[in-house]
Amino acid sequence: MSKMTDNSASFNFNYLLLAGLGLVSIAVFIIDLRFPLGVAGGIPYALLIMATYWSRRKRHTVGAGILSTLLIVAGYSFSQPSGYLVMAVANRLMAIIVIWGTVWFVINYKRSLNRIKKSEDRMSALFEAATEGIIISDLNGRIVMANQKIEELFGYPREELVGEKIEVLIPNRYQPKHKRFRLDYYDDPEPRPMGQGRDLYGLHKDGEEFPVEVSLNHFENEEGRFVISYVIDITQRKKAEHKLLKAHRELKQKAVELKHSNEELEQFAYVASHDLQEPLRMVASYTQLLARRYKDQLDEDASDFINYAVNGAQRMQELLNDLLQFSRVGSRAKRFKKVSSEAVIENVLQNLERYIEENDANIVTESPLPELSADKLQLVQLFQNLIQNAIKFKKEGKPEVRIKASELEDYWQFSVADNGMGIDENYQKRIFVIFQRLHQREAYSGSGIGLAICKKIVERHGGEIWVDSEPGRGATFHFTIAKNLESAQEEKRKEAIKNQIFS
Amino acid sequence: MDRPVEILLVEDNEADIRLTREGIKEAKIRNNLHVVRDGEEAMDFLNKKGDYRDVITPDLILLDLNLPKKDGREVLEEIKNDDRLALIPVVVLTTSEAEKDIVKSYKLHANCYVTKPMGIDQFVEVITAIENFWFTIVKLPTGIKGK
Repeated sequence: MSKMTDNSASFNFNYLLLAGLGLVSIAVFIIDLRFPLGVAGGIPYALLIMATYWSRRKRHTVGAGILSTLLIVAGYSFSQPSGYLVMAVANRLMAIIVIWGTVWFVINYKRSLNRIKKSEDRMSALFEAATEGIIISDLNGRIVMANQKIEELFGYPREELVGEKIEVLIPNRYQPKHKRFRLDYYDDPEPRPMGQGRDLYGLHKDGEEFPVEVSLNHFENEEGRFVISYVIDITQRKKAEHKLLKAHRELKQKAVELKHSNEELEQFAYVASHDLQEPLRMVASYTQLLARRYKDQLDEDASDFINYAVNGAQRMQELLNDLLQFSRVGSRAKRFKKVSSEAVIENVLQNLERYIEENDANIVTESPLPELSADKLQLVQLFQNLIQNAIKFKKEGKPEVRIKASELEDYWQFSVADNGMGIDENYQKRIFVIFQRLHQREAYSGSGIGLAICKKIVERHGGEIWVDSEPGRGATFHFTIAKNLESAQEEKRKEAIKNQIFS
Repeated sequence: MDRPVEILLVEDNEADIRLTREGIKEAKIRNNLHVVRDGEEAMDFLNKKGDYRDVITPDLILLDLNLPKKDGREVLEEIKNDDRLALIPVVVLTTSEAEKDIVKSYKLHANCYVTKPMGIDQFVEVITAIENFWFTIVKLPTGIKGK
């Protein structure tokens, strides 16, 4: 719509201009006729040419030139001849030269004006379309120019801003300081971010403050020196930062609490299992003493009952011992050292020598096994539990256990595979829970602590443990050991922060 | 040996005292079992102070670690730092399986460290073994047994 009105306006203007030019040319022509030929009556046509400056079209100027030339020639034909003919012709020619000189000048002037306007339009588009708010201010801190974004950010139309001190855009409490900083900047006007190390705030027209980031630059022209401030609203960033910081703090807090409660729990398990042994020992001992002393006076039932009591006490002692052992994974942990996993396996095979022989088991290690940064005793326990399990839950026939390692980016992954009875998928997670057993006590001994200890040891080494198995087809236990515990933990922390933020 | 061996049991748990008594009863060696119930009493007994003016210096001490007043570790330290008592074999007999207790006891020159077993049979075995070991197998300075 607005474009159309623009066009019709300039269309009307062009008609007016042409009409004006027509009148002027007629007037000049009449004057020219009144004067003798010796007078350079063509020169005033130059005014006609200059008037075409107001028309945007090049052809109006050229047209005016042609018209003037024709009129000059016509004037020669109609005017009274006087004086020398040569003079008169030279006069007319000179007028024509002046006319075309003026044409050339007007066209070129218009062209360069056009060029400047285009470049100005581009600059102003750039200025207006900038995603940063831009303010140009003079050495007194008065705003000279501001862009569209500044209007959006601060809520003032720019007419209200221009001429104001730049401090209107700053919360009251920063204003005196800002004036000082502003003066300092003029002394050393290097381009730089403003308020390094400080949080900066903008003041919206409605009195609301918002965090901003400002960079400064300056320029100089014939009007003087000016400062350019680029303003970015960083509310969103601050919010995100705040959220991140909060998540980080919370997580840290949680980690501390967790560590604390974990330590407490371990201490509790340790003390409980230790102190519980004492009364248990009394129950077991005195029940046995009873049986021993009064064997002859008791009937068969009484002996059975005593047996059950003693078995119960012994069973409970085993559980307590296991609990003690489990709690020690954390509480008796040693510092990590360089450990050869080959040496660990060797150690385990020595410990299990009799067990392996009794079961006629075949243990195959696929060398080479890597060197790890780990707690050696715990690694021994880990492999020992896994190998022992592999043999314990065998099928008919010779048990075979294969141990191998493969290298991942940040971890070593080990596997202990057997050809035993395997584990149903439903139970594959449960087996790592403390005191979870899949088999009846009569069939397999043990309290169900072995794999729980394995899991705890692996986790202490920054890794994970899982099992692949099908009933009747053997089981393969996989576990990972972090090459660098700290970076593995850092990785986990980052993951946790991510989860916390996006949850 | 013509006279019974004198054993000092330092133990605060009544049930344990009785159990040790019963265990010792079944042992083959003739003995007198003296019982004190905390660390201070133990030191009084050994130094023949107060009520214990007339007791005999024991040939063997069975010492629990967790005692009221003065605990077993202190008692052990005092015994081993005292020239007159240092030669008496001290058997630490306790429920603690803690590595640090074991190490600490040996550092304080305990003669051996035994954990109380769960079953009565094993307990009797342990007591018998202790007696056998210290009074028939081991050669001790004559000053101790003969006194």
